Amino acid sequence: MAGFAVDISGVEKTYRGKIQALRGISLRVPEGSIFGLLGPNGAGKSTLVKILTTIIRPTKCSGILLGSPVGHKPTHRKVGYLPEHSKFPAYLTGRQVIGYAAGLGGIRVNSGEIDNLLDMVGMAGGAEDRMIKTYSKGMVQRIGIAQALVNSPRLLILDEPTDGVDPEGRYHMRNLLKKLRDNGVTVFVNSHLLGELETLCDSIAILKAGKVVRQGALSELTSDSRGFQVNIEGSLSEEIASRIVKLGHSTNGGEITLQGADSGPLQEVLDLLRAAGVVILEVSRSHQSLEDLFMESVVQMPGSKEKGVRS
Amino acid sequence: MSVLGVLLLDSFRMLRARRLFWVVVALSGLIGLIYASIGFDQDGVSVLFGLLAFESELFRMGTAEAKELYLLLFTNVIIPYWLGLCSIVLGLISCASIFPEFIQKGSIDFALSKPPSRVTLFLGKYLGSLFFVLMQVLPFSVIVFLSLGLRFGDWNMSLFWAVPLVVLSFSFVYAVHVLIAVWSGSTILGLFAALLVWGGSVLVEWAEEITYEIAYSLPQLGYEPDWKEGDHEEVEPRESSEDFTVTLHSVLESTRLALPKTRAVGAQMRSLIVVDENSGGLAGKSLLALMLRDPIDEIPERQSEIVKAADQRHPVWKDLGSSFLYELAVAGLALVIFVRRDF
Repeated sequence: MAGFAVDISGVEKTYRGKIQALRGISLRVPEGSIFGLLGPNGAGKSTLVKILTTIIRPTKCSGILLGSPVGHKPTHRKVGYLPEHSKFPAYLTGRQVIGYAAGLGGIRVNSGEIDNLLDMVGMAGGAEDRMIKTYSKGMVQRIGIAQALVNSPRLLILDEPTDGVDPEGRYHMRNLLKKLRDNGVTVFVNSHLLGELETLCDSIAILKAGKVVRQGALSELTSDSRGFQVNIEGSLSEEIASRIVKLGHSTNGGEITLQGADSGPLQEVLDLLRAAGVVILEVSRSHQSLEDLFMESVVQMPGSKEKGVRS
Repeated sequence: MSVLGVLLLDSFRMLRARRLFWVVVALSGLIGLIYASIGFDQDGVSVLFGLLAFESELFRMGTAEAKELYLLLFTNVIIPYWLGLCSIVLGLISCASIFPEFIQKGSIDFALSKPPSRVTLFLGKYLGSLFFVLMQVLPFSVIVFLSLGLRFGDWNMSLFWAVPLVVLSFSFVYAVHVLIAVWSGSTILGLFAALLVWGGSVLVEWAEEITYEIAYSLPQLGYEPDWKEGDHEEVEPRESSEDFTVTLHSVLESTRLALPKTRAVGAQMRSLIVVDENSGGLAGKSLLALMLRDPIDEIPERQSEIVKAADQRHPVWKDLGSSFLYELAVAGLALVIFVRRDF
């Protein structure tokens, strides 16, 4: 069984003025996976990322990052990081930013290696020798990814990596991250773009008010609420619709929705439809989207009980 | 390349990219060239490589006075006003945004997430700023060195004392800026605080000097100031004054000890930059010494001793040491804030 690139427990952070940003965060990021950190504004995502990258000192923290205690500086030779709203020195060219990051990381890179990185993030072609201040936001992000990769990291932490990147760039970035994952790199992504994370992440954690409210493999987290959808020709008669509703399912014109992964109730509905001579056009599995899961996790209905942490 | 080397290289790139850096370097070169353009011929003195000529019996080629004028310009004008004042102000303005920009969100995250410790990052940026001032003073010193050597055959290596001493002087002022900038993130506030502390410390140094002369030098010379009439009378020489000036001097002396002493560094510069024995002897002398000196006669021995005592009342090691301790304390506090702060 693979280990964990990040394995932390009880992480707390209270800022001056008694603002409690993190209230005992525990999470595990499997090695060689893409992990997504989600949460609404103010949930503590950036604080957690900044604690992992030593930008913020935790009030309380135990756990490891790449086998060393969180905050152990030399370990960061194996960590790549792209900050949110990154501001690289405006007087440097894209190529120099990569060289500067390598220098701070204590490694030597030659021009060919920088060219490879630039090519990897789609920045080869002349712009790399212009000053950063002339770059668009998307170009800065690409250089940001390249500098984060300069030390061939084992853990890559990206804070809103596709911010300002065009759709084509996002597509390439997704492929790049998957490729890195396949090569054994652990990718930790903090993003608001749920659709993007859904296609990218192997596991996720959802933060709310400084706590982890959901955590685990994405497929497992969404499997609980898998269901089925049946589409028929025309619309259901009132009688059939009422019988289906009595079975605990919902209908909408020519569409029947069944909750749950168990296919038993589906057979019952199909039998009922066939017996009534209804023409079935399509039967499909319905998945709960990450957005559904996210909304379910963070939106607290009045009077409802907060869901516990799952792992 | 070491991490410190990487940070210094980054500082160099940053300076190179700033227009102000080139303006300051050009200005520095211009002042140096104007100085170098002063020449002497058989008829007198010329400026701007002969463009403007002034006839003079006293200041012409081969006279000790000509050389003395040249050296006086350096020790009594260029050192205190250009190197001791303008260079520091220009350096301060140029370097003012280094720390505030460095600690901006998005920028600091990038640096802090890397392996170097916060102490290394801080020192790298701090030394990078000093490097800026060094880059400004060094070419200037080279120009002055060459012009003195070529004009008078005086290849005076002691001129290069200006480089470390101006950098040191700048660092005393800059430490305050860094402290406030790291604490507040504001360039303007840091600049304002640095200028305020610098101005305050110069005032204290100046006030201490004046009160020393009133409390000690004048009584030792046998002068009694009449504060009401604004005059003085000659009395029997005594060790010190008997009025409030001794207490006032004592307070100012203690205050001075705790503050950076940029004037003292300037004075040190003038004493370390040794001028040729054949020069007229005025170069580098304090105002008190010049006032007491009869242009024709020699200074009486007792007066000379009193002037010497006044000039040497603050040992160099004490002035530089206490200023350095001050810088260490202020920059150390800035470092503590930088290390402990959540960005």
